[in-house]
Amino acid sequence: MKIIKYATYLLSACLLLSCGDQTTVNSVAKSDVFSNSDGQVTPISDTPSSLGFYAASRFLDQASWGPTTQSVAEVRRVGYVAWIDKQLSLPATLTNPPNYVFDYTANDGVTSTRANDWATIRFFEMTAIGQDQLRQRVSWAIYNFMPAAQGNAINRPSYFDFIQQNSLSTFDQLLKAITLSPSMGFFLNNQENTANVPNENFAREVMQLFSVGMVQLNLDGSIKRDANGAPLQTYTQTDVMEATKALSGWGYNYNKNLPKTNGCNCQVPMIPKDASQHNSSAKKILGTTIPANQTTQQDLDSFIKILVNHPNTAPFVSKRLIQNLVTSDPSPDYISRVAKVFVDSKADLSQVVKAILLDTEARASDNPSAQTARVGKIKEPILVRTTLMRGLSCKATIMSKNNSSQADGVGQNPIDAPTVFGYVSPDYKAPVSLTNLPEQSLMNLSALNNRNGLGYNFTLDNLQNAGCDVTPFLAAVQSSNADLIQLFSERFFRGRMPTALVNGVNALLNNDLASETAFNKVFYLLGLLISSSTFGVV
Amino acid sequence: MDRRAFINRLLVAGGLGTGSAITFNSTLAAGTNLTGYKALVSIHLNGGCDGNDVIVPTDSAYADYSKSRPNVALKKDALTLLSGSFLGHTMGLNPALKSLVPLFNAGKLGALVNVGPLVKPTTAQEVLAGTAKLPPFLYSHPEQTALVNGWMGDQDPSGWGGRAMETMDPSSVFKSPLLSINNNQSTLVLGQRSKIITASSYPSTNIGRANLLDPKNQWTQILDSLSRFQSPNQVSAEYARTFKGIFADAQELALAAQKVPEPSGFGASSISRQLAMVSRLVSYYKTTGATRQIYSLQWGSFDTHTNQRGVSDLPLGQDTQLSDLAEALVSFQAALDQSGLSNDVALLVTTEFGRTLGEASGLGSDHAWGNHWLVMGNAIKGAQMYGSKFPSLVLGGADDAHPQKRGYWVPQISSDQVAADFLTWLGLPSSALTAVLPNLSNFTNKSIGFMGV
Repeated sequence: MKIIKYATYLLSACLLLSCGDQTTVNSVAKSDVFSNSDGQVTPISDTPSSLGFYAASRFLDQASWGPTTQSVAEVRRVGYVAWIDKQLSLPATLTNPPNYVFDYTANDGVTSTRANDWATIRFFEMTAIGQDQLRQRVSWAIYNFMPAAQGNAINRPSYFDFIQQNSLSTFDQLLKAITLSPSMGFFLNNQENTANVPNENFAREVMQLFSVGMVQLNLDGSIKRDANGAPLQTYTQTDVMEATKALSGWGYNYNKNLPKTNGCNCQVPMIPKDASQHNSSAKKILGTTIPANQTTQQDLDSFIKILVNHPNTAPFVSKRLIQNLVTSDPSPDYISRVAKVFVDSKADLSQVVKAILLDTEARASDNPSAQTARVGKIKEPILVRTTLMRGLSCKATIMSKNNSSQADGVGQNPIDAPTVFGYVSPDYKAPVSLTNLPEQSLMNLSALNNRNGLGYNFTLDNLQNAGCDVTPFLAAVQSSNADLIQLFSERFFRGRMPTALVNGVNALLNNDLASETAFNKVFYLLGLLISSSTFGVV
Repeated sequence: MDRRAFINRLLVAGGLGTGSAITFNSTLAAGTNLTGYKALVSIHLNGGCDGNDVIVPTDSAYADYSKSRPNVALKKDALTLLSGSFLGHTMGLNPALKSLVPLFNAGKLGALVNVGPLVKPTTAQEVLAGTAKLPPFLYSHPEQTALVNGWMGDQDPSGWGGRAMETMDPSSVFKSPLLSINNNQSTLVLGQRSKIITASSYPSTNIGRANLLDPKNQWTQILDSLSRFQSPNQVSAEYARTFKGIFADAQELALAAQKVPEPSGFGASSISRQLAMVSRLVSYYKTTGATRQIYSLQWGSFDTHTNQRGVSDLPLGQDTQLSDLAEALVSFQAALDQSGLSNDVALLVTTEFGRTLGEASGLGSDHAWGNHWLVMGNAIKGAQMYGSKFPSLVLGGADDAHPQKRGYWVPQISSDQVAADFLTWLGLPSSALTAVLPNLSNFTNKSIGFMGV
């Protein structure tokens, strides 16, 4: 713990000497000790040696499932750009379901529960140990505005794999992949949409939620309006009906040897049914005509092209990704800069993501002493949990006390959006708030209970079974209040735990918690700390 | 009207603006003198609950119905018959709603036939000819959910409940006027300056180690201090503000739950749990000085593009959920009767849109427009179906506004007219109705007339 005390000393020195002094800052960074919190002087500089602990941790809140001791060190060593480039080159972690997820007896409680719980358990495991952190965060961002859920146990993990395989490719490829995902075909019923009996569900939502949106947008995401100020709508009901025709005639790649619980053959894209199931008339969608007599596949390709090339798609998709990764209420200029990359790169999502993370607006608050007013997002419960797991160096999913499902106590089930509108409305504004903060709508009493209840839900056994390393925390309890606080600060507060929390922790350790076990001290306190606004905001 | 214009009008109405505010001022002063206690409970059925299978004619029109949706239609002999005739038809209810019949016959339950959002009175012919003035974003779930609850467009997210309460109570002296259960995203109770209380259907005395009923508990004190965190960053500031609201509400709701135990008779379904909590809250708030309250509940998963009648496993069909709804409504009314609050509480069941009478592939239906709603309570003039006609159930028939003849009904009752009846009952002066419900000015009839005195 000597290092920590030394760092504290340096911090005070930094305050005395003025943190704007580049020389001081660099000398602190090069000394490679923990907690060079004020080390980021020019916020968007990518000179590795200038990246402070705070800045690197904050970047990893945006670009990964939460910082770890190792990932912070890596970002500080190589810089943002090299870290992103390396991440972009990594292969996708896939869910790889075991056979019992494909094949189980639907009306047997034991096997079907085991099968249906698996996706959630695997999801958190991937967030803890997957090397492709950036890809996973982007996939999660995409899932939030292109969700599919329900169905058999195999539907959810298979759908996430379709996203994972395409989340850093082009938007065309992504849109085509999710359209042909059997999980999506089931969820929004396009696998039932045929020439004679249409089903409009997918055709409507792919336009409304996944690509162009309901209202016409400028490149900066602002809404185009008529003379009376009413938003101009992007499409009409006729467009929906025409798109339904263009999307007709797809079905599962059915194989009679598959188990009943994988009748969707969910890991394999849908295929055209008999040509008679496809409506091959000419269609006019969003002003563009698709000629008659195209095949099922050709119509899909034409339709996707119309969506990707629509002027709304670049700002619409850019804003959704920015909102999930960096900030809920991005400035028009930020959206515009990213949307331009979307257009110029021909919808290459890897370039779009890179532009999002390196933008001046994303990096503006890297200096903890110069916070900007609007940037940031409230962490959704899943991000709270993954950040917690990574801060505790977990290697697998933390199961709940009764081992039923680790989703207990998280408050949000991954790859299981309640509706096609996802977990939150991207336009959500709390009453009288001036700021659009979607995840604010997930803050409620049960979320506070989940966080503060950590000490009741976690056991040492379950944490150790998940490979979490609680030893340093238990050791810090034995050492001193200050050491424990310093460790909390490093792992969960980017090295800058606010004074009010420090005081609260000290008070509780000295009074209410004085006779508790070291484990209880750590996890009762951690529950309180992750409820704070400092931890709760990216 | 945009947000600013509305606020200006409110200011004028409250006598705070400049100009000729006298007429508004005198009527609105009455609002502050409201006495006693009244509450409106609104249950929104998420996803568009198909009214075509809620109320079904059992006379010759049944053949039209079954011909239009041969694979989805309820069997005629399965329907629960209502005695008497309504809008020129004998009628049956979906059998899942059978337990509501005694309430209907007792005059405590009524139906509103073919309701939905409208800008002005509109006909199917106008829609087909392209000459109708349509509400924005028809057929989209979130926008229609917002619209039937009084949304005024992207410049003003507030709903009719929130606006009405702020108009009735310009100085914000009412205790806890706007509440939602398990949900922070209700348009109905969103005003322009009011806090919404979000209650859980599972009240809790503790948050972690903090005992909310013990202000001396160290954890309670620290949570209290966390809720007062200040930050120059708006995101952190909003987090802390939300935290503060949750914490304060949790303290009051823990107290309410302690003072009012759960009445007997409620089932285990999610909607029963929600209404059980509401029945406790109305008792608590009435006795602790609340004047007017609006509760917003959103429940269910009725977007039955496929498997509308349900299958053995997921997705949940319409009938199982309607059965849960009926059970919850019966328990709720019984609880109100028992606690002596049945004259004070009225209930409305809405949904965002109807569904195509013509089937969608996979035994379901697609998004449509007009639909049937339910109203309940002692204050309701029940045992009736309101509206001037029941839509013709012929695809491509006189009432079908779908260009491909799949069966959309253009509403004959505007959601604003429904709101006006409830708001008048709550005490909103008639002179303030069009300020709260701007499109109501396009309707000659400002009232449907389903509320008793």
